[in-house]
This record gives sequence, structure tokens and C-alpha cells, in this order.
Amino acid sequence: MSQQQILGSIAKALGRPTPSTVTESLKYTLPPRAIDHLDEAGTLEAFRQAFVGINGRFFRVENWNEAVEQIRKIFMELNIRPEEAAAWDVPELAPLWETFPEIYRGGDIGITAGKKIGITWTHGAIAETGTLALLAGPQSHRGTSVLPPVHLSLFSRRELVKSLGEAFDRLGSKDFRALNFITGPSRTSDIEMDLTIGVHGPAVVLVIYVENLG
Amino acid sequence: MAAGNRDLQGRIQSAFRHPFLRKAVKSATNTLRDRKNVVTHDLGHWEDWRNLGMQIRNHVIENLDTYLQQFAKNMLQQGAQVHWAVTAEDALRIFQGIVDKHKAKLVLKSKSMVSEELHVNHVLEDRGIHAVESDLGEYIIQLAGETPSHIIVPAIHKTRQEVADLFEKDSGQKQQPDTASLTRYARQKLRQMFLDAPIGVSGCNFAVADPGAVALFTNEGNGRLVTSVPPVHVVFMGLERIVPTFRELDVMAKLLPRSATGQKITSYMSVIRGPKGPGEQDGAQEMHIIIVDNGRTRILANPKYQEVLRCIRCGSCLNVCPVYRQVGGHTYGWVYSGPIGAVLTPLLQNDLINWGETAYLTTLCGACTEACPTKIPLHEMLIQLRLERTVSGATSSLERTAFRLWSETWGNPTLYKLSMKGGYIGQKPFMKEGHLEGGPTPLSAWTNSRYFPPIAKETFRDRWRKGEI
Ligand code: SF4
Repeated sequence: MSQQQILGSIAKALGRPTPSTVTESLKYTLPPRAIDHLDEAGTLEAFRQAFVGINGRFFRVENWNEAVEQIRKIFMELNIRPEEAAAWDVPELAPLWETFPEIYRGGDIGITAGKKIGITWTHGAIAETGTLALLAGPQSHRGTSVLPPVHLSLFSRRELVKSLGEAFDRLGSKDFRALNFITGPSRTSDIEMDLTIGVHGPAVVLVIYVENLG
Repeated sequence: MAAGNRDLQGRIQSAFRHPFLRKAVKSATNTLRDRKNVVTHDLGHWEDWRNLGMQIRNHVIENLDTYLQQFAKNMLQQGAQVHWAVTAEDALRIFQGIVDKHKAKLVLKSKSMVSEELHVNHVLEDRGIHAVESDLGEYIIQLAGETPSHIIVPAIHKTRQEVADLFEKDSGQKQQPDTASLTRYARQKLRQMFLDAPIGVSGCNFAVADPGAVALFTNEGNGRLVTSVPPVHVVFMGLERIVPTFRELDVMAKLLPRSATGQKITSYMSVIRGPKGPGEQDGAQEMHIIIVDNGRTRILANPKYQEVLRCIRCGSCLNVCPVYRQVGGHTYGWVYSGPIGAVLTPLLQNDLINWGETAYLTTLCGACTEACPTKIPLHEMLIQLRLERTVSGATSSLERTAFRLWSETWGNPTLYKLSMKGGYIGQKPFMKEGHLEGGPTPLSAWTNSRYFPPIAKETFRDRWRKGEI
């Protein structure tokens, strides 16, 4: 069997008679980072700066009413009708349905690919890099954040974390099959090192921070 | 093992003849290197991060059997199928079995160096199966029928116009040679393929042992599509690409994008733990992981080169290498280029005679070692490879005799003095404008292509004796 053969070769190379199955975990401390000392307001501001720095558009609103208004404005600006939107069918986005019942909430890939905007809820907003961490699940489809040309995500203060490490601490032990970290729009520099936005994923990424979920 | 172009001189000459390559490679490597300097400076404590990277990768290598078993067990539990391939042929046979089972005629790939190493595309094409690279740069070189000229930006030697010509041929329609239009064309063309392909193939930047997961770093989003749109997802994974937990993945996420493209993090990092879960509407129904040895355990068993398994394929060593910057990736003859390619190619091919010459594509300046985020002593390995190649008798007898004579002469003070005097007189017919030109072979191999400073009338030793120095 190839598995035995490979593990046997590894054990032999490492000077053991049989493959080992246990080890002590490695102990270390991470070097200090600028982000370590930020308070909540500082963390949100760091997120905003990082997110804007990678061509994201950031909006901050007080509550869901304002969030819905902001979404309406975004639809207008980008010339999108509610039925041209796909969104996650998660309880966090419930207020959205009341206003826009036409939004597609299923996870069919073909249908989602034909939509103009995908709307998701961010499970971890990472301040250090302006990254959105999205857990996939039965109601939180993977395609929503990558197939349409525009991706809009919402989050509140509970989702805000300082670093990728903190996001892993919080989300890593959850029962998921896919965890996607998204940092700005899809990009490439493959032709003459010329930066182009929007290759296979969205060219536009927007975030609405909702201060108070109510 | 796999084919490649073994004629080093021919490869070098064709790199020099290429109208655009040297300029493009130089400017790309400058950009990548400079961006890396900025982001590593911004992060701070870069040396500490590098040390940590080295420590983690060493720990993994020393416990590879444990972590691989953990990873495989966890992935199996989460519903993935795990395959083990000792050789390239094994890996291809396993993959072929999956393709046949699904009667796939189209396979969509995101970038995977291991699959390039195995020449997966050729094997599929031979059987009438269309394997399409979805990374823009890889797609371009696939249309051109070439290999990557850089690990991170594979089509850097292609001009916009050349890309437009390739896309024109591909589509049968006129294409504008501007980056935005060309990118749009690739997006549209490949999007349909993503939706149609029954199988998606990806590499594996890192496998996480506990809990089992495969992590992919991409910028374009093709990595996300390949792993979640087609019903079957196949991962090619080099067996050393493992980290113990998410904590170590976090450290790698600090090192890899910064070293590779000078980004704090890539646009996408996907962490996949198996096929889609119960109730999920998208995601692959079937996930296969092919763990590939293909010479890696042989490297593990050799203490002189074991450390090369720390490599995270960031391409940083390419960007600072004075030789790579002149000749580009094709000169290395196979899929891996630059200093890492010069070391890895002969080791993976297990052939010092035909492939060991890559160890001469270096000035031994050590810039690669200094750039490497996991501190692999690349330049020392290059010296070691040269040594082993010479000892194995791969170098020509003329070269060996010449070096033996040289070492005997210069090892003896009287003979050394005599040789300098003789050299001073002997060089006179070849002096031109203060440097040497032409001369007998093998000297002319050097003097015909670059300046060789002449031997001074008065030697250092003479001047030292006179108290002039
Ligand atoms: S050897 Fe080091 S610098 Fe070169 S690709 Fe590997 S990790 Fe990067």
C-alpha cells in the first residue's frame, strides 16, 4: 500500500523504526504587532483603513433602518433591481427580506451566477488586513460572495476581530466545510504586472458596519 | 521522471535572444521585491517572523509522519477521500481513475505547481480530455504552449500584444491589447467553463493537520471557483505542505503573501475541510486529496538537503537572484525556477548528471538565502550540489584536469608566483583597451562575452613586500 510505503519512508528518513503518531506541539509566542494595543474604536478604524486601502468601499450606519437605506442607495448607484440580487438566507440578514422580498435567497449556482450583486453576513471582520471571514453553510452559500460582480457584506461590533489569528480562534473550531477569507476585490497582475480588478471574482466589494443591531 | 529541456546552453541562448523577456523579468522582480520590502517593514519584526516560519516548518518536517496521518484521518472523517502516491505515475493513475469515473471531458484547474511537476495536463490531453488552467497567467502560457517563467507571475514574459494575439486565435475574434479587455475576455470564457466542468483541480498551499483542512491562497478568485463550483474537487498536495493547526497557518499567512507578491494577504484565502456538508447547496460533492511523494521522502532522508522541504513556494528567492533576473524561468528547464528551482530540479529528478547543471545558475551571493521566509540555506545547497556533481564524474575530464592543475599550482607559493609572472607575459597578445579579449579556449568562453581584468604588472605580494600596502 502506498500509504504504508510513504509513511515507512518518512519514518526511516527520520530515523524511527515505525511511523510515529504523536508529537509535542510546538511552543512559541508571536512577535508583537501594531494592532495588539488597539481598543474597539481603534480596531474598527484600522479595519476601515485597511479595507479602503485594498479598494473596498466602507459604510458605517447606526442601525438596520439605516443599513436598508444604504443598500437602497447602493442598488440605485449600481443600477441594480432587488430581483437582480442574491443573498444569504441567514437570520442576521432577516431585516433585509422585509424590505426586499424579491432578493434571491437560494443557493443555486447557475442562478447566483446570473445575479448582479451577492449579499452576505461577515462572521469575522479582520482589522489588520481589512479581511472578511465567511463561514459556508446550508444558508450561507459559497457562490454568493464570488459569482456576482459585486459583493456586499454586513457586520456588527461582535464580528470585529483584530487579526487572522483571532478569527481562527473564534471560528476555527466551528463545524464548517469551507471558511473563506476575502480581502478586497478579485485582482491580477498577470499581464505585464498591470493591476486589474475583477478577474474571476467580484470587482466591487462593499461593507456596511451596523453599529447597533437592535 | 518527467521530461524537460536538458540543454542548458540552448536554454540560456534562447532567453538572451528573447526580445522582451529580460526586461520584463527585471521589472517584475523589482516590483515584487520592492513591495515585499515595504510590507515586511510595515509588519515589523520580520526576522522574528522568519525565524518562526523556519521553526514551524522544521517542526513539521521532523514530525511529518504524525502530521500526515492526523491530516489524512481528519479529512477522511470529514468526508474527503485521501489517496497516497509514491511516484508521479501513481499520482497520475489515481487522478485518471477519478476522471474516468466521472467520464469528465473537461477539467478546470487553479494553479498547482505539483500538477505541473506531474505534467497532469499532457497526460489528460493525450487522452482527449481538455484540462484548462484558470489562473490568468497560467491560461496565457497554456495557450502559448509554454511553461511558467516565474512561480508567482507565470506569463510575465508575454506582452499585452502577444496575449491579445493568443486570445484572438483562441476566440477567432479581434481582441484589444489592453489589460482590462483581455482580462474580461478570460473571465467570460472561463466562467462558462467553471459552470460546465465536472471536475475542478487545485493545489494546496498548506494542509492543516488538526482539524483537517486545505488552505489555498489566490488573488483572482479562480481558486474559490475551482473548489466550490464543479461537483468534484481534486487536490494535488506535495506531502511536505503541512502545518499542525490554524495557529501555524496564521503564521504562514503572514509569510507567504508578503514574500510572494508583497501583499499583506491575498484577496482570497480558502480553507476547505471536505466536500459540502449536509444541507449545503453549493460546494463540491466529492473531494479527493492526492498526497504526492515523487522524490520528497528521498530528499527528507538526505540531511544535506532536508531543509529544502521547508519551502513554501513564495518565489522570493527568484526576485533577488542576479542570475534569474537575467535569464528568467525557462532557463531552468523544468517547472521550478530561480534558486529554489536550481536546487529542487536535480533533487526531484534524482539526476545530477543531466539536471545538476542548474546548480551553476548562481553567483553564490546568498541573496536567495537572505530573502527566504523560511531561511533555507539555498546557496550552501548549490555548492553542495556542485560538489556532488563533480565527485560523481559528471564534469568533463578537461575541466577536472584544469581545476586540479590550478589548485596544485596556486596551492604552492613558488608555483603561484611563477604562474602570475607567466600569465602577465602570456596575456599581452590578448590585451585590448585595458582588458582581455579572445585568447585560447577555455579562456575565450569568458573573454568573448564579458571583460576579464588583466593581471597587473606588479602583484599584490610585490607591493606588500615593498610596504606600499
Ligand atoms: S526557497 Fe524560500 S524564498 Fe525560495 S520559493 Fe521557497 S520559501 Fe520562497
